[in-house]
Formats: sequence, structure tokens, C-alpha cells
Amino acid sequence: MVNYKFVHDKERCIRCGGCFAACKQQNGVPEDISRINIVTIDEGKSGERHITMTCMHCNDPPCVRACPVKGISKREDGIVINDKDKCIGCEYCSWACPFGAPKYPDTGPAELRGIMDKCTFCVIPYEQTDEYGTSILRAPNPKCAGFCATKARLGGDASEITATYNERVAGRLVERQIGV
Amino acid sequence: MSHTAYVVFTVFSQMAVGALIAMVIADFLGKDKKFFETASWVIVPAVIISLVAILSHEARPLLAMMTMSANVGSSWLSRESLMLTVFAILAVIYTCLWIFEPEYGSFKRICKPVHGLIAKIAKPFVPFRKPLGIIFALVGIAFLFISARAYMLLGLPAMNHITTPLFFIVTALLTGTMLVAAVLSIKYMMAPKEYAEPLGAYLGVAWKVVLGSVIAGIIVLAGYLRILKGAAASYGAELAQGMTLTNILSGEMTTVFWLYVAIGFILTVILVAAVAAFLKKDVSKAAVLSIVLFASVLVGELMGRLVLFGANVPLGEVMPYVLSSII
Repeated sequence: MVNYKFVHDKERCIRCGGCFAACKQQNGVPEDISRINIVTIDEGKSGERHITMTCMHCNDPPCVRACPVKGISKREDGIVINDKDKCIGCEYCSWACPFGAPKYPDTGPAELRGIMDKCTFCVIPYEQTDEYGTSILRAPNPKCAGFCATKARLGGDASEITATYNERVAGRLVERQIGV
Repeated sequence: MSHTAYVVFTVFSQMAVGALIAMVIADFLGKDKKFFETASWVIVPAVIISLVAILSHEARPLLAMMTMSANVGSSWLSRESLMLTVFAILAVIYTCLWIFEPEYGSFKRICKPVHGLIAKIAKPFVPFRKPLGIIFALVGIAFLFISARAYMLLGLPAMNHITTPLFFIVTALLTGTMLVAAVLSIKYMMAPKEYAEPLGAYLGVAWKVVLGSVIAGIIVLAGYLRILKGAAASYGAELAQGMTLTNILSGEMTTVFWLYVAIGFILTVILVAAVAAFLKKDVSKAAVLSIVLFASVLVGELMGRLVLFGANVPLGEVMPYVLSSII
């Protein structure tokens, strides 16, 4: 069964901000928040590295258990989504989440201010229709991973992306050992 | 994140629980019930302030009122809000058993016809006020534990300790006992000769509770700082605890923390003076000191809670450091 996940390859990330911009553009993320945070560790020192912080779509998401209104749910394909119609903006999920993924915008449409916003793996989290009443659906195809110039951000079925990542790690280990 | 709402909500909801416990104690003193009845008015306003505070924090307060208890199966926040609702209802019932008491219920001074009507309904239950009060107080204590458990999350390592419910219990006992003492002291000042004996009886118990709570509070605070300094269940939790301690001792919350400690010291001095006045049978001085003590307890508890929430570093903030070290 498919289980969508993200993997971040810190050795490859150059902090170009492509994932951040693609996510904002694709999902109409409000101005004052971002679904992806890029954190730089040891900035300006040797060993400087960049980590992207976003929803990890946990197997047992603490936010789902914490949400008092059952607004957050996990789909069969592993994607954790938030129903913005149910959300009351209590911010409790941000305490429960160990990755600080839930965000609460102060800008944007009035009815969505203070309402939790998070990564949806670029699917439309709940049924929406276009101007002709046709249901809009979007396949899980995260733009952040698609736009990543160095392919540091991998998004897709856990078994596939883990295999890709493991190959890279193994390759790097070999390179270091033989000194290439 | 706004901490003010959490600060006001937790302190006032705990104050309401403490005030109800103090009223149950006052009921058992067997002195002038008419005198103690006045203090029963304060429980419900304290609950209302806490409810308003927590709802003001939500982006959709009206929807929150309707749906916040929808996930009692797994969400501690849902359980907390459900318990708060239950406690609020019980607090209203308990207050009614005092203020609509047929003989001395003070509501008759506000609206006699309404008092007469509700007093008839309340009359058969008034003899059971003491046992009901004990049950309601136990529900209140259960609420304190559930409320504390709502903040004991893996994502909040600095609060995920036994010290959180202990802080809440100390706050409830300190603020609740002193709120009732302050109200009774004001009433005493209106007719000193008439109310010296019942106030003296109440203060005799209240000082013991407050003294015990202050000592317990100092131990819990020392334990909390010690825990933050020590090892944690995971590297991330240890980092978050360490950063919380830094925020308290040499960060953005340091001024508030030392003000909190200073108020705690002043409070202890006032408490000693009040106990000394009480032992010298100087009830009028003890009454004035009770009011000052309540004010300092309230300010101190608000500051302490501000430190607890404001200095707290969630796991999400330190996770990049953890991830960078393992992936």
C-alpha cells in the first residue's frame, strides 16, 4: 500500500528557496506563513547545513490525536490533512507536533485568519468544486520536491524515496572511503 | 502564540476551583453562614473570566464553544474543555445553594420574587450542600489534573513533567483560599464587631492552607528548575528543556521570573505578618493583610504562569538541530 512521505537530504540542500516558493505558488499560502521552513545550522561555519522543516505526515500523527474538533485526519495513502471548515484555531496541534508544522496566518481571507495551515502533499485537502461545479482533484505530487534544483527534497511513496536516499548515502560512504 | 489567554485561563479556572474548595471548608466551620455566603459569589465570575479568556484565544470562538469537546476519545484539550464545562455548571449549582438559601441567601436583596422562586427549588438540596460541595470540589481537583495533562505533551518537553499538575494545585489553593479570605475581609470591615469571630475562624484555616501552599510552591519551583537542567527522555527534549531554562534564567523571561521570585518573597513576608497579627488576635490587621496578600498572590501567580508558558520552548523549535545530527 502506498505511504507518502518526505525525505530531506541535508548534504544536497543549498537553501535556494525553490521548495518554499513553489509551495507558496501552488497552494496559495498566506503571505505571513510558510509551509516549509528552511533552517540553517552552523551558519558561516564549516559543516553548515540546511534543514527543511515541514509536515512529515507521521505514521501516528500526534496532531490528529490532539485536535479537539477532529479536524485533522490521515488519509489511507498516509497524507495528513486539515479540514479548515472544522478548525477553530486553538493552536493545540502546534504544541503536539514535534516538527512545528502547523501554522496560523494573520493575513489572507478573513475567514481563514488564525486557521491552521499545513502541508497537504499538494492534494486539495477537502472536496472543492470549480466555477462549473466540477469536483477538483489533485494527485499527490508535491511541488517542493518537483522544483528542488538539487533533488535534496524527495517526496513520494516511502519505499521508493527511501531506496533513492539509501543509494545516495551508500554512494557517499563509498566516495569518502576511497577518497574520490 | 499569545500566552496571555493561557495565563488568564489557567490562573482563573484554578482560582475558581480553589475558591470552591475554600467555600466547602468555610461551610464546615459551622460559624456564621450568612457571613460566609458573600464569598460564594466569587466562584462563578472566576470561571466566566477563564472561559472568556480561553475563547478569546480561538480564531472561531463560537464554533469552539460548540465543537471543542468533540474528540474526548483522544484529545486532552477536548477533555479539559469538557471538564471545565462540567465544573462551571457545578460551580453555578453550588453558588445557587448558597445565594438562594431561604434564610440568609443574599440574592433576595437583589430580586426578592426570583429569590423566592428559586429558593423553593433549592430548599430540598440546601441540607446536602456540604456533601455536594465535597463532590464538586473533587470534580474541580479532577479538572486540575486533566487541565495539567493537556499541557503535558511530548511536543512541550519542559511542561511534560509532574511539576505541571503540582503548579496548578498550588495555584488553586493559594489564589482560591486568598480570594475568599479577601472577600470575607472586606465584608468584615463593614461590620467588624459582628464578623470578627467567623473571619478569625476562617483565617485560622486559610493561613495553614496558604503556608502549606507557599512551601509546596517553593519545592515545586526548585524541582522544576532542577528537572529542566537534568537529562530528558530524548536529545530533542533535553535541548528544548535547556533552552527553556535559558529563557527563564538569562533570556526573554528573566525579568518576569525574578519579579515573580521577588513577589514570592514579599508574599511570604506579608504572610508572616498576617499570621503574627492573627496570633495576637488583631483580626482587623489580619483582614487588611489578607487583601494585600490576595493581590500579591494574584499578581505573583499571573507572572509565574507567564514564565511557565512564555519561556517554554516547543520541540518543533529544536527539531532542526536534532534532524541535522541524525540524517
